[in-house]
Amino acid sequence: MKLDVAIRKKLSAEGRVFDLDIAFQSVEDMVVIFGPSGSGKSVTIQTIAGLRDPDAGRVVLNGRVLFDRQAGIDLPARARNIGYVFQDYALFPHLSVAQNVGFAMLGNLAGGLHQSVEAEVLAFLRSFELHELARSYPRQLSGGQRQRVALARALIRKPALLLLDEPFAALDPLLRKKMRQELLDIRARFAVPMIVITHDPEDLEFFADYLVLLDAGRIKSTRSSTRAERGRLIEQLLSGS
Amino acid sequence: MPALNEALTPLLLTLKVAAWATLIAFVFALAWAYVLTRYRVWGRETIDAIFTLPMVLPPTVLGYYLLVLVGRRSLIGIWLEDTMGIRLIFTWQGAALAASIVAFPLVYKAARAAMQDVEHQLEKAARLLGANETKVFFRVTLPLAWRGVLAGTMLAFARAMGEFGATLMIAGSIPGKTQTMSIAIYEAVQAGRDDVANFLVVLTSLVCIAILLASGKLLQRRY
Repeated sequence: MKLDVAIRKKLSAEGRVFDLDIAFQSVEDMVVIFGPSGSGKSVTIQTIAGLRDPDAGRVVLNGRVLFDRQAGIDLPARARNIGYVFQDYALFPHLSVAQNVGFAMLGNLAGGLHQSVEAEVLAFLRSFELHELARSYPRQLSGGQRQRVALARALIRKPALLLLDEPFAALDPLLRKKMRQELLDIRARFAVPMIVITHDPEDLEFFADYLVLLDAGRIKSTRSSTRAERGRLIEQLLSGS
Repeated sequence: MPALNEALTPLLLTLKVAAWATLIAFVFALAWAYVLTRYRVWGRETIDAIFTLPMVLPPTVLGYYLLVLVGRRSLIGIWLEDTMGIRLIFTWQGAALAASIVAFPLVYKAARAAMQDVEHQLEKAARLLGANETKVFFRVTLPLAWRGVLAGTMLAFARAMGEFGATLMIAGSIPGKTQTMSIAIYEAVQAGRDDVANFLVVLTSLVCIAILLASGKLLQRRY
């Protein structure tokens, strides 16, 4: 993956002003944006996805310009081909697991999945071990199953990039370990580049090939790292230095 | 049974008028509720107040506005009659228009509240999955707001069925043509026809109770 991001965005809410001004480039396939809550991580990936308009800047993914304020380019979210897994998954509560995963293939107005598509969706669900839940609704699923549905829904369209917003924050510690491993497996299986945002230092050990440290809307440092280096970094972060 | 025969004509007319009125109110209320909850519209509060006005204004005032706006000497009235051949004064179409305006706030308020409750994040998720705005509306927003919208629509239907003041002013009370149930009841009481009045009153009450019960059922959460 070749990603080039430069974003400036001023946000004001309830009298407080937040100023995000960041730029980074990465050729790694696993980027982690790490920082405390309120540091601008979510705004950053929402901008990459096209859910927010920055005041200025550029977002270029694999040579394709997604956003360029000066050139007047702003592809809508639906045309960016970027997968996104929300922190609380944002599964459609009124649709079954199969319809959630196959949402992109549903008609604009009404009706279920077309027969020809349904087989494809079911095969995909099988690869996520979700086929037995195809007719279940999100409220009937456990936290881990919900996350798997969200991942399957994002990946079935073969996105050029997968964005994950605090993917493990909503899970209990035991499940968190398991789902981290699952995400690594998925990454290997689909060869999809990912950007994960997190405030949990433990996530770094698993994921960051390229690390962006964010604080109060600014980049503190960026680095490519090996797993051993990350171990040392985590110790530093946990000891608070 | 003379009362039944005399009740049937106004009943059928009332159902026709109320159905058209509800349909018109439904389409406009849904569109405006969506626009006002999803986009930044200049003067939103004022528009909201105007849309709620038919709920609090005396129906006679609404009827008067309508007479001025679409009467035969008004610009709209002349245009409607010349180009489309539609005359609204003393016709059932006029009654339907009056009832639709009185019923509009009920659908609009319910639709607005229901759409406000739909999580924006779900609409964002749909866009990220390649959905255009039509698909976002029909596949996410509307299905999730549906029960609230439907409950409001049923209330609007009940309200349209009971419309009296504005309808009387714009459509009059022509038996078989514009005399709806509520007007027929008034006429029957005036003429001392208690049997007809009793029958119409009971019938109206039963239909309205049925609608309220059904809309109450629809409001219970399912997901």
